[in-house]
Amino acid sequence: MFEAYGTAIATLFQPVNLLVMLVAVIIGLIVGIIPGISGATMLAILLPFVFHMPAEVALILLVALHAVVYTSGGITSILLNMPGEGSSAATMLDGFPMTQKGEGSRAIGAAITSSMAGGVVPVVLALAMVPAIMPVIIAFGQPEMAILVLLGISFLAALTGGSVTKGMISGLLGLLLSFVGFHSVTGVHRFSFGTAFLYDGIALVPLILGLFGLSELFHLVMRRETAITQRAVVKLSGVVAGMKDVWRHRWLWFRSTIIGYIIGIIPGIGAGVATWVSYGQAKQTSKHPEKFGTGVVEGVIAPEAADNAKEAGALLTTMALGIPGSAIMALMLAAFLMVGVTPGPSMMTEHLPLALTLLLGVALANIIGGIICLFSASYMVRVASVHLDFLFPGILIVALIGVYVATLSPMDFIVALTFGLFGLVMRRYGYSRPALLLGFILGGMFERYSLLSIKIYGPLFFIRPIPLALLIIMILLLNYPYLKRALPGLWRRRVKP
Amino acid sequence: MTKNLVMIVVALILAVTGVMAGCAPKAQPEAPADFYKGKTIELVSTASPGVATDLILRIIASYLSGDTSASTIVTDRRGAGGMEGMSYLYKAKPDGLTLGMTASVKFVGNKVMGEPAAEYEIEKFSYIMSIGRRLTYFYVSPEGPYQSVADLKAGKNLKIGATSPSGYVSLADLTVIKLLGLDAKVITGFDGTSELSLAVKRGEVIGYGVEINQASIEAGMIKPIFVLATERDPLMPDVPAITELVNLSGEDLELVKLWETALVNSSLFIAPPGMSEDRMGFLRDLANKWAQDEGFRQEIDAVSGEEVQVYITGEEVTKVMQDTAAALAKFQAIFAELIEKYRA
Repeated sequence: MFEAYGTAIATLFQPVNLLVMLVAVIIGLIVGIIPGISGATMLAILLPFVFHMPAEVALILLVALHAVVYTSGGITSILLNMPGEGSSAATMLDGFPMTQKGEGSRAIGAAITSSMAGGVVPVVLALAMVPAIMPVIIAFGQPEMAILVLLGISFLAALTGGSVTKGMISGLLGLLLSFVGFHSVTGVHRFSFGTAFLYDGIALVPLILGLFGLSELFHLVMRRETAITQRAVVKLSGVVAGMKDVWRHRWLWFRSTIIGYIIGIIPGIGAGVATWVSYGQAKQTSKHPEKFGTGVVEGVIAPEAADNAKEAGALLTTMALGIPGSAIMALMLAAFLMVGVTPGPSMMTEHLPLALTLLLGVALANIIGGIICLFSASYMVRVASVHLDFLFPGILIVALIGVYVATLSPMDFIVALTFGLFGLVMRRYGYSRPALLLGFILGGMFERYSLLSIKIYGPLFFIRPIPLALLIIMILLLNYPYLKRALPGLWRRRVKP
Repeated sequence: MTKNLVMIVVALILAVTGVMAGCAPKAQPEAPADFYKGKTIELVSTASPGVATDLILRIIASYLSGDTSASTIVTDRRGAGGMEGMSYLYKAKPDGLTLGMTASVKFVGNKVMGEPAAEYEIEKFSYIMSIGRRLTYFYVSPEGPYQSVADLKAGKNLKIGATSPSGYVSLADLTVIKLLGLDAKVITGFDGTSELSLAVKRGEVIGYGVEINQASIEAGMIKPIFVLATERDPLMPDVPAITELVNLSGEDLELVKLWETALVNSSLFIAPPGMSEDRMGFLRDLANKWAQDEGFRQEIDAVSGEEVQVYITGEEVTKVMQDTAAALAKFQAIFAELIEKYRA
């Protein structure tokens, strides 16, 4: 085992591999920042070129690129309310308000540090987890998935903003929108009006870019403001403050990393659940939950840690079991096969040095990517204070290109613009856009898992140990603020004579 | 006077020009090789990024670009299970500047299942080449109670898993239910074959049908018990053909043969309907040349994860698609009945 570690470290630090990693990290960071161009798209473009390369070089390239996409994905969420990657959407909730308060560099410092550490630490856990992965995956069947997603949805209440009624209406509207398209369980076409365009439902990228990015731009244009209402702190000290915040909230970071990692290990559950569950638990267990959504750093630390940690978990499942849990992992699986390595249990024995090289590569890429981002953060934050006359056309073009690249459908411009205007109306009348997004992302998943569960196990599918335990956790978390207030009182009353 | 003279001269010039134009040799149509120089060819990918069909198209893009001096751009049109891309290609101008690739089993399967979003006719496309020939297997859990056809036939109220109700896996499952006469229902909605393999391992469903799934087999989650073919597959010669295990005839045997021909999992390189013969000939010649090229084959093998032995010419694929189209109505009726009866 130690010999394998030695081989892995020696391989990783070969000059050519380090150079490849650096190039991959830079590409990955750029891809992560650009809305609409996902890591999966970039990997697909690169795949045909890698099979001429030696296995370790090819895989280091792809793994390093993939590892940092999520590190930089949160930057545009924070600065422009426009997520670079779909899974960075939860970071917008507090990241962008922090930018508006002039704390953009602090938010970026916290996001990058949290994300970087969230990508590094799970690697340490990875090898210890190998024997336990299969039982965990097998234990999470359709009922467990359904209740886990329900746990994510339950945090809708945490995202309602001012009015619970308006928040619930927003969430239900998101749920309704998630019903559009061909339903894979029943085979029914819903609200697609016979058009092929709506066959797969409303695409996520135009919806997010419209609802958050464009609506924010429209709002700024109407009020003739820049993204920052107060003068931006563009000093490195802001970034350092963000880094210190992660240390200050290290237990929150640790919880979020573990949540992301475990959700990442389970195939199919998806990126959205990890970040939203993480954000929700951060709010519910906070001493000041009412401040979430107004620009608190915990709201940035939690989703960013989970976002990157889940990818480390997913990579481990792909390598150790040959089960790709997401589109990007399916690409990684294809890459492994192309260079002659068959992922699966034998990979952790026959190709152990390579497996270790890749896991350590993930950690190193995260560190390199994190350092690059931290040093450039104070420059990046200036984007948000660019004069509106320059910012508006620039961002509008980037957003619309992102929409087109993601789906190649001109109709999605209409979707993005429609949701841009709709988001503006929601904002004006105090309806919660995050709640709508959460309903949209998780609603369809819950419906699919619960319908599959009913077909397989019957209507009482949740009467199983893990779903019941998750339901209890959900109830406890939702009532945590009340319990925290009530329990000490109860305790004092009991101990009094 | 002068004016009249000028008019006469102009008239003469026009007349002579007209006669010369009439006598001039007819302009030669541009040779296909010259036509492509400096142009941009759009290659429509209908598969998810990273899937063999998508990667094969990207390899073709570089060879096509090298042999024609044209630029190539791969566009991702995998919406509606690839039907969006195929419908787009079907309606594209047949000038040879829009080409595409699709998995045969999905391409034909969508028509067999009567999918309304499949706005194309399989017999009308122009086929350049087909790469690969992956047959469909039926998998069960290695530790489950159903290890043979006899076990499956004896089973009651079996649950068989599938992805989309109109997808390839569902089509394979329904075929197996019909051929073996199983007491079973198809449960659709699983998100891909990895999730299906896990569901088999967990015992949520007893099995499903799909092409070779090496990663899941190696991980010990599934094992194949037969292949939907009349002969064993050289890629897995130990697995029996379904015709070795049950006696099939008439309509049932025709179904198995459909799985060996049009519903085989291959990557079809296609052009829109109505392509001119010279450009089709040019593209087919190029494709046939690549099929003989050792470097090209190595690249295809690498992205396919196996040594690809079968490269079928465009002419042969056209014949298969025409035969399938002729019998399409019959197959559609069979599957419409199966869906009605066996979908949970």
